[in-house]
Amino acid sequence: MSAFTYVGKRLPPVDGEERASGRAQYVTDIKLPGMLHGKILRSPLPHARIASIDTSAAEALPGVKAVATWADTPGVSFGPIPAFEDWTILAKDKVRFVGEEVAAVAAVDEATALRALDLIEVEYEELPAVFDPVEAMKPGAPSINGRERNVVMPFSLERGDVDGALAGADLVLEEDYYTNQVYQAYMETMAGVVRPEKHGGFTMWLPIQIPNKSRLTYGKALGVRPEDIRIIKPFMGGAFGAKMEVDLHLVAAVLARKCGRPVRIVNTRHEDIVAGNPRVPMHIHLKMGFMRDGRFAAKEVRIVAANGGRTVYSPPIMATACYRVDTLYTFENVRAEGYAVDTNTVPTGAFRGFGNSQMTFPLETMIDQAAAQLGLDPVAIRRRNAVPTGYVSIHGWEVGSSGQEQTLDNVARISGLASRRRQAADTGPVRRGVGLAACNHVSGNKAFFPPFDGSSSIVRIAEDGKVIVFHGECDMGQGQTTAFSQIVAEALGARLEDVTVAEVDTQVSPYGLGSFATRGTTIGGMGVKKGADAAKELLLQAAAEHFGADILALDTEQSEVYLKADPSRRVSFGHLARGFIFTHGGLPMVAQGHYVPNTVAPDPKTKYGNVSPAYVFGAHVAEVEVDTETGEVRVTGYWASHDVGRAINPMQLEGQVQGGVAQGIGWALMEDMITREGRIANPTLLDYRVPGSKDVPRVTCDFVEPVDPNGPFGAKGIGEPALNPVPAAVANAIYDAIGIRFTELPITAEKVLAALRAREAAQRGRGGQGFV
Amino acid sequence: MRKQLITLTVNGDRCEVAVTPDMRLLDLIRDELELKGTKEGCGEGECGACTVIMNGLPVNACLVLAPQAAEADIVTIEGLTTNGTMSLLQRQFLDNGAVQCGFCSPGMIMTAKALLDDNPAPSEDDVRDALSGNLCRCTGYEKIVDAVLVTAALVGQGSAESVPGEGGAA
Amino acid sequence: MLSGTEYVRPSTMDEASGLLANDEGAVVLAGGTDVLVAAFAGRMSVSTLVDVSSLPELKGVEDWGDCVWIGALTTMTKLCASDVVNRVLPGLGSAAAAMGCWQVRNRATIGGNLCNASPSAEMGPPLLVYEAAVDLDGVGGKRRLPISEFFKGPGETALAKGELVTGIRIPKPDAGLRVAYVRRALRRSMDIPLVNVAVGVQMGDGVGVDARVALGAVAPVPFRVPVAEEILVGRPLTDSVIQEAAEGACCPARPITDVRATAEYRLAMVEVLVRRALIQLAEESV
Repeated sequence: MSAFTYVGKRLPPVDGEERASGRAQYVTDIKLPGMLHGKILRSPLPHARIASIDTSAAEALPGVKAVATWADTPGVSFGPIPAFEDWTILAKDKVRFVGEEVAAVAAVDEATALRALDLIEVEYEELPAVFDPVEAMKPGAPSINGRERNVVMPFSLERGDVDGALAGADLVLEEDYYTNQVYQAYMETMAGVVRPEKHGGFTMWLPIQIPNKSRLTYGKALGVRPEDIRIIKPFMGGAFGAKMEVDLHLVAAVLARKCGRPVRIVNTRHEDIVAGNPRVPMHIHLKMGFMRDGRFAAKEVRIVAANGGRTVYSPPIMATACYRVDTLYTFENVRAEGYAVDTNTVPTGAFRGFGNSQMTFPLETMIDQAAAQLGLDPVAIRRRNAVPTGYVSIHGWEVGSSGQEQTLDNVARISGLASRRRQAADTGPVRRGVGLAACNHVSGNKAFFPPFDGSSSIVRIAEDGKVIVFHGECDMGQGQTTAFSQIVAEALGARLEDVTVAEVDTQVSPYGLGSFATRGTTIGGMGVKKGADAAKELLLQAAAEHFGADILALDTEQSEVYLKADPSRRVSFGHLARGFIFTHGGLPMVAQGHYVPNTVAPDPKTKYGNVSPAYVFGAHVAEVEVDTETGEVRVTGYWASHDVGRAINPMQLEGQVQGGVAQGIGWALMEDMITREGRIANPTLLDYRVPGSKDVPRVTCDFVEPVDPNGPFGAKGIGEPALNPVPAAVANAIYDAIGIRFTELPITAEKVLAALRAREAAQRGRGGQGFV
Repeated sequence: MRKQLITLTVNGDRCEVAVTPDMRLLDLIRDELELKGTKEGCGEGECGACTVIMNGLPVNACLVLAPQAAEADIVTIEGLTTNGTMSLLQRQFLDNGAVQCGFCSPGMIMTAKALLDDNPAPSEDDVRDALSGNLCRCTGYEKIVDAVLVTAALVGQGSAESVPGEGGAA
Repeated sequence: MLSGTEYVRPSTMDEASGLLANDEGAVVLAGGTDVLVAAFAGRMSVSTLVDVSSLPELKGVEDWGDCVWIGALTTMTKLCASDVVNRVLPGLGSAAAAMGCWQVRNRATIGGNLCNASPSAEMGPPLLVYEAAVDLDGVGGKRRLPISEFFKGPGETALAKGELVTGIRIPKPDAGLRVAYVRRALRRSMDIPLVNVAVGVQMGDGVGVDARVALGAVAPVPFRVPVAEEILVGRPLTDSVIQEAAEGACCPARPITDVRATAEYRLAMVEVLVRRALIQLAEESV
């Protein structure tokens, strides 16, 4: 550890001063000369044919500069995934969900644009609608996008001998679960500022996780080459998976093109909830076989997932839910069947966990149940099936490092799990319990974008010795810029304060995939490290000439090159850079580096293939108090141990874990997009409850550092695994407290109270449910 | 809709602004005065991102009409920086890892400042209570609470005097 | 939205009541935490916002000997900080402290909370238990109404056209009256109560001599529950009496089902909250 200057240090964010002082410019803060304000007219109906649209009154309103409908768009169908292109920028002749974009206005101010929306007359012919994916698959269900049984994508996979293993198992458990639709609730709503450029191109300032990849989709949608779209990603107010391709950006572009002026669109919170990109809700049927010694004999899962009215990322998310957990343990016999299904609800997409978090809830609660029934310790049963370093899973995933056993042992130790369990001595209305749940995840996902995997950087040493790093990834607020700065400073031997990580601007940044699949630190980090390594070579070569010494006799530290044999002989990066630049006609002193991971796109048929360069593991313990009179569950204690490969910045890691746990507690207990007939009934932050400062406990964090062969300095990812096990840990703690298992999220006070009363009634020998 | 001129004090400066009845204090601050540090997160008083200090107390600037702010004394996040140096409280937000995406930070910091001005030695419960109207989706609040408690402790020990530009508790 | 709305800040009562009497769409603006949210969301159409913050008649918290007078513009924060409220009307102070969050309490006024007339109004149950009266003033002159006659339905009050709430008059309760305020919400702050309950009990010679139970959020208006009060009078505050009263309190409750909770759950919470409030009082009086 002490060998590092910056890696492993609890450093404050390098760009934190801008954020804490209010100087940071977010997209919502941008004001361009001549900029107009756009507003979107959204469908009030879940499924309807558009008979006519009359925009004449809106166009006549003073201050309105453009009104756009489908006719003003290139009219092509497109989508984030080439196989499922069911988007149009504005609805053509049909709307498929409440909130779908029908028309848009650009005006001199927001109030005028809003008044103009009221003047647009749309005649709808309502169509029968279907909201639940299971219903949508049934014969006779309304057809939403013309797909057979409304199935966007089926998924199936089988390995080993599932039926044989189940037949030979000592215990077989089978249960239906439901994971609900939840909203990412990033603090900055979706937004975009788009300026039209010559030759039909655009400059777009966007809070977007995938600045480069989105141009492929946006180029097709707007009928221009991807290169004609320049995307700049300034400071960003959170995303958690939601801010990939966003239709609002394209609506702004259509308006900007039509009136020839920059257009800004910012979602209201209401719009953002109604027409955002929430978590894919899933019906999950899980069957598992267990041996008496705790070995997992087999796992069989069937998933039906709601796609919403058009396809964002629900197909790969459903697929991920089907089989990513197969590498959480040493499974040998697995079968999965899944369907992503069109529904007349808001389109669903990525939210921290990408399906793996959905599946972790059933899996980890069922394992808890099996442990109880087999009389095994919850840590022991998981350790019995733990994944070791060097393991190759049944799907070909190559686990280069695993600290899984240590995360289980450590979380049990720091939480005092054994002594906290079954505090049955509790009397009175409040019962206390603890629960354990484990998780795994990837650090990158080749399956997400098969054309390429990896990352790259350009590292420039300026004439004053300052280091500027260009990359194509994305800091959405999680601290990537700081992690990259630490990695570059460490690898290059530069002072941290000399390193600037540039914001992503597709005109100058290298092509990068962006933030998803917990890939930033591992793959993105390797990309910037390779650039820094190359820059160090350049500096050493220049210094070798300067000192007349062999390159091997030199090393760097504190933005200087020194002679290893005589560290008092030093020359600054600035001196070397000036020497280089001034003798090369001003040629920039620039190095490039890139990283191509050893990943394989899974075989389309067998799904076999190593999708990620590194795999992470974690284990959480939650302690809850259940008020048996009100059903209220309070999380009173929380402990988390994560295998992070190598901690680049422990303080930022803790921040990721504590934030992930808070989101997970919200999902487990209170967050729910209540949908009635396709309309979200609670589209405000009052009634869509995210946890506040009094709703979450302190989270004690522990990090296991097995040093992965493929990560920068051995580092792996943290973002998504921080959330994955939380609902299961909370549910298992509730079971420990009151002896009732919950299979549907969220576990609201009402559900807890109803279950307690139903049990009471059953124990009294007369059935019945309800509260009274 | 009539425009009227109001005067108010923002970060110590007297300003005269023409306001309309549909303008919020938040719009006045962000659009008329171009102080973009104050953020809008919901426009309904549910998230606290737009918190400013008005006559000594934290308020949601989205729930105050601009004409209601006539003669008011307003402090925004920009008012905590003196000659380019952040306050001790802001520094502690950074040093304790309390800032991730930063969109809630200006509002969070303003509420925390108002708390420390009112109660220089708050308990953890006091801090969680005071900040309960400021939503944060990144941090899980723990490091924010710590930043406020550490600031209070440092001010209590008199360390604030050594921090340049530090006027009061925070 | 508020496009087209006018804003006026009258400096006299006459001017204010005149504006309200003569303009169909005029709405009183005090703290704005309810009115502005409703107006911006388009749930309320407003022609003129009448900002009453300059009216001196609506300000102050005063100890008038036999009663406490609370000006309609008194914010929740000021209510929590008031010595006389904390000393004489602690149940009201607890309710004020439970509302929303600090930013909201710094703006929200007691008059606004009453005039918004939400079934779950934080001030409803405690003011019913303290048997407060509402002072009104307007074009028809001054009048006073018992709080129980002020609420008429969700968002509806006994206010006449051109009339304003100027203050709340609360008779000082006997020193022996203990009051508890309890509520159940889905989040530990920043939330609207699913059910809120204020209970007042005065004991003498080991039995209840005065009992007051008020419920909020389980009917169109907050209300007193005589059936529960009668159970408590003349009897000791034992577990069984408490349980009987808690169950009795449920009888008149007619809650609704909405996105926050089902009617059944709210009803179950009435029993729990009344019981817990009474247990709290029983423990205090030991």
